[in-house]
Amino acid sequence: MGIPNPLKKLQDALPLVRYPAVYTPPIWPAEPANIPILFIFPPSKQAITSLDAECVKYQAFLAFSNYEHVTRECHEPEMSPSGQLPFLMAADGRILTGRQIIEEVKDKAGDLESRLTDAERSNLTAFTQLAETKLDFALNYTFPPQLFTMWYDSRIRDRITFPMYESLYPWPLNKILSRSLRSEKTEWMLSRRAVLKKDEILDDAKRTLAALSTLLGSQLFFFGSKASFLDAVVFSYLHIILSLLALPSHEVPLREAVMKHDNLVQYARRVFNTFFAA
Amino acid sequence: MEQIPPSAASGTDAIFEIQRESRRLKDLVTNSQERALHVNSIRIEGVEHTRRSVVEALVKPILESQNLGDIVAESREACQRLGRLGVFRDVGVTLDTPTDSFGASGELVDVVLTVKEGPRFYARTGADFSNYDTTTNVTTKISNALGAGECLEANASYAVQPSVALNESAAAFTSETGSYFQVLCSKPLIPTPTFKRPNRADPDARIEFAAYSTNRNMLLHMSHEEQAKGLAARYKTADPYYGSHEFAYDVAWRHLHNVAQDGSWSVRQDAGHTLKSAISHIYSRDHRNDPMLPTAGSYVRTREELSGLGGDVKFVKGEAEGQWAFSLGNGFTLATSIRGGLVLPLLGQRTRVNDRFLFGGPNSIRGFRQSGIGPMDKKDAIGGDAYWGAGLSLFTPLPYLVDKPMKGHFFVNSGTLVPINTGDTVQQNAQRLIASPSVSAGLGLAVRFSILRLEMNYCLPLAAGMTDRIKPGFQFGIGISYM
Repeated sequence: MGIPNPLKKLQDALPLVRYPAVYTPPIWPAEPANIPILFIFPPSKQAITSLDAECVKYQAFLAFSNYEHVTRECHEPEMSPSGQLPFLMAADGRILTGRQIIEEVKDKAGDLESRLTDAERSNLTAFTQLAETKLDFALNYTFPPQLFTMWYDSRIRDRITFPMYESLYPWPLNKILSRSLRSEKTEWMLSRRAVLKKDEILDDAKRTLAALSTLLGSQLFFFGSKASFLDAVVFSYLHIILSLLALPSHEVPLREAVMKHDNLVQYARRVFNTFFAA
Repeated sequence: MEQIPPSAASGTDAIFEIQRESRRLKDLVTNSQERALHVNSIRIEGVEHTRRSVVEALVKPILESQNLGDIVAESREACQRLGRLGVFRDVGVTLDTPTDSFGASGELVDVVLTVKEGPRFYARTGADFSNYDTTTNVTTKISNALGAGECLEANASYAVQPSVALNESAAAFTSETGSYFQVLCSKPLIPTPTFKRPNRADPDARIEFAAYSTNRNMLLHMSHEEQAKGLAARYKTADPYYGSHEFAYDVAWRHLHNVAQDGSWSVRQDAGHTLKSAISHIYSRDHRNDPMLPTAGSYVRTREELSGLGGDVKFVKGEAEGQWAFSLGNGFTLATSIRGGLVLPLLGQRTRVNDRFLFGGPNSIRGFRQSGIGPMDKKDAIGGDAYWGAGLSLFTPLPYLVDKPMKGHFFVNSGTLVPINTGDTVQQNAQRLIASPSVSAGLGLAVRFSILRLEMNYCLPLAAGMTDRIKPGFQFGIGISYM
C-alpha cells in the first residue's frame, strides 16, 4: 500500500487533454497481414533458397511441414533475438529462433515425426547431430556462409563470397565486418577442434555422407515416404554444396565427395524440385 | 565668509597637481606616438618547450614598426596572439634601450617579451551525475605536445545506473548505461600575422581530430544498445561576439545490438551495422550572462548535418535553438526558449531509430518522462522526424536567499514530436506537427551549480498524446541545457 499523496487530488482535479497518438506502428511488418514471416539470409538472384545453409534448413522444414508462411530477406543477424538467422515471426507477433521455430511449426502444422518408431527417433537424433556437426564443419571450412572461406579458398572467395557479401554493407564496413566474422568463425571452430586439418575435416564429412547414403538407400526420404527434420538438415547442406560450390574452373573436394553418392545427389534434386522449384 | 581649512586647501592643490601630471603624461605618450623609433631586436624570454620558429613568426610584425605607437600596438597584439596559442600562462612586454647599438641610440629600442609557459601535463578524474546515471571519468591532457600549441587529450568515461533511478520507476535494466572513450588531437590555427594598421584580429581557430568509441544502453526508454566507433575532423572558430562556427566531418560505424526479447519491431528492424559519413556545421552565439541560470541575454544555436557521403545512412538534418532572458527587476527574470528540428531521409531511405529525435523529459518538456513524447511502438520511444518545443519560465528571488544562485521557478512547456510521412503532402505533415502539442506547467526550485543546473519541480501535464508517457508530480532534473 502506498503512502497517500495529498497532491493527488490536485492532479486529478486538473483536466488532462489527451490527443490521439501521433504514430500508430504498423500491425504487421509485411503484406499479407498476419501470415508468419520467415526471415532468411538473401538468396542469390532468381533463387528462392537462401545462400545460408541454416536458413535453407528451416525453409525446407517449413515447406515439409506445410506451414503457411512467407519469406523475407534479411542480412542482419542482429535483428534476430538469438543473433542468428533465420528467425520466424509467428502469427501472434512472437519472434522465434532455432528450437522455438520447430516447436511452433509442430504446434501449428503437426508433428512430422509423430509416425516414427522409437528406434527411428533415436536414429533421427543421432544422424541430425552427425550431419549438423560434420557437414557443417566441412562446409564452413570450404564454403562458409559467414565468409570463412576467405582464408582458405581464394577461388571460392572471389567467385561467391565477395559478390555475396560486398553488396550488403558499404565500403569499408564490409571489409571490417567480414574480417571480424571470419575470426569469430575460426574461434568457434577451434573451440570444437584443437587443430583445423583440412584432410581430417574432409574425411569426417566423407564418412558422414557414406552413413547418410546408406541410411537413405533407395527411399524417398530418410525415414520412408515422408520428410522429417533430418531431411531438412541433410537437404540444406547437400543443396548448398551442390549448387553453390559448383565452380566451372575446378572441383571442390567436398562437392566431389557428395557427387560420389548418387542417391544423395538424386535426393537433393528431387527435394528441391518438389518443394522449391516454382 | 567661511574659512577653508589649510589641509583641505593643500588637498585640492594635490588633486590639481595629479591631474596636471597625468595630462602631461598623456600628452607625452600621444605626442611621442608619432616619434620615429625603430626596433633593434626582439628578445623572447621564458620559452621552454614551444618551438622558437612558431613564436618568432607571431612576433615578427613588431620589427616593421616605424614609431612608438606602432611598437606599443604591435607588441600588444603579439602578446594576444601568443596568448591564443594556449601555451603561455602570462605574457609581458618591456621596451629597453639597446646595449650595443651602432645607430643613433635614441631611435632604436629592444622589445623584450617575457613569457611563462603553463603546465604541460594535466589529468583529472571525476564523477558526474546526470539525469539517469552516474558517470566516472578520467581525462589526461598534454598541452603543447609538439611545440606549437598542439594538444593531445584522452577521455574515458563509464556510466552506471544508480540503484534508484531518480524518481522514475526502476524498470529492469542492466547497470552499465554507457561508456565513452576518446582520443583527441587539436591544434590552434593562427594565420601568419602581417604588419597592418588598423589590424583586425582574426577569430580564434582550432583544428581537431578525434577518434572515439561509445556504447550507450538505451534500455531506459528503448530496448537496445548502441555502439559507435568513429573518426571526426573539426574546424572551429570562436568569436564571442559574432558567434562560433564548427565545421565537422564525422564517419561512424554504428552497431545497434542486444535488442531485448520483447523489443518492438520498429527497433528490431534497425538492428545491425550501419556506416554514417556526414558533414555538419554548428553555429552558436551565447550572450547570456550566465549559461546555467541567466538573468539577461540571448543564446542561439543551429546545427545542420548532411549524411550520405559514402556509407549507407543518407539523411539531412537541421536543428535550431534559441533562448532569451529578460530581467524584470527586483530579482525576477523571464526566460523564453524555443527549439525545433527536422530530419529527412534521402534517396528513398527511411530514417533509423538512431538518427531520429527523442523529446520530452525534465530538460525539455517537464512533466513527461525522458523521451516520453512522440511516436511509440510497444514500450519503445522510437523517435520522430520533426519536433518543436517552446518554454516560458519565470524565475523569482527566494526570501533570505536573494543573492544565492537559487531561484523559485514557474514554467509552462509545450512541444511535439511527430514522424514525417514522405508520402503525405507538406500541408498534411505540417498539420500533424501542430495538431497535438503536449503541454505541461508547474513550479519548483532551480539551483545553479558551477557547470550544471539542478531543478526540482512539481509538474502537471495539461495535454498529452495517447501514447505519451506523462509524469505528473515531482520531477528532478539535472543538466546543462534546459528549455
